Amino acid sequence: MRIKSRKFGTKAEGDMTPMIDMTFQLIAFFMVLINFTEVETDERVVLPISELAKPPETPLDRPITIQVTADGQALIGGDAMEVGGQLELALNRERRVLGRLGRSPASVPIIIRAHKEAKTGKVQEIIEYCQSSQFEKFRLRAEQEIEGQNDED
Amino acid sequence: MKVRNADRENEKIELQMTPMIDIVFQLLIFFIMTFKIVAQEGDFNIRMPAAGVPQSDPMVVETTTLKVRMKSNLEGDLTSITLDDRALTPPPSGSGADVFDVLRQRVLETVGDPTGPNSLAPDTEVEFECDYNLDYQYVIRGITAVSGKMEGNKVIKIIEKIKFAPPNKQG
Repeated sequence: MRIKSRKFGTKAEGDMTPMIDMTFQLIAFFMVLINFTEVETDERVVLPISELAKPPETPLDRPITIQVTADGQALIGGDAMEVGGQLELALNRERRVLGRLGRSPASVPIIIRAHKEAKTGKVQEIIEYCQSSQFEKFRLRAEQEIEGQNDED
Repeated sequence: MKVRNADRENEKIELQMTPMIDIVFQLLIFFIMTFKIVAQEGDFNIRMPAAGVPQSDPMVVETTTLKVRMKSNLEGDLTSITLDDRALTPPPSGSGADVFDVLRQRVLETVGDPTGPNSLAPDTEVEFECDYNLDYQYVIRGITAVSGKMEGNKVIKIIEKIKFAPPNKQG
């Protein structure tokens, strides 16, 4: 008894429409969420968490970001340097560039992104170096607390 | 003269789907790989003009300074915290509060309700004096405690003038 279908030779075609619909929806989802912000970040720096850390309502006017790693190195524009003469040179260079652009260092905010386990004294030393280069506005950056997150360490 | 081919009129036009699906999947994989959830970041303003610059302005109302002193051990853990030389005792563990909640409470007792008309908060500044080795996260927690509190989703600001005492070298 042969039950084999006579349709053996016909081409089986699945309906592709739902799959393509879903795929386009996924693409749209990821495209909307993609983040092209140019925030200077570094994986060596894990920011401390604060419930009051809210993004500023108006973007800062061309700030300078100084990152501080847990072992006390300063990072400016991706260049790692020890806190000392090298940092002073880098800050003076920034000041000269600002001078050529006609901006005073006192008006330029310095964003300090320090690792949560960095030594406070190091951060203060960096602030002192900035002050000696005539920078006066500082912003200490922290990460916003996500609900349910518990910083026990 | 009719050139149209009568046979082709009922013929089904089949789109070639394979290249499109290939590209779509490539795009999908690109977006999945580059997807990263980034927590939002915020700033605490501190204003620290360089020493030696005259800061006395006759128009400025005299400000009161509250001194917060944070001590640490060599590993950077917070060992004690004082507000104007009065030590703050941490609440018993399990109460859900920590020593920074006590700090906030004391600051609120000193300056009064920050939303009220008689609040001293606008004319008060806080100076943080920290040990050199103290972990930076405690400074942020201290600044968070004195600079505001959350009520629901709203931030109630307390003190906005924050500065650091010169670094305290230890060990």
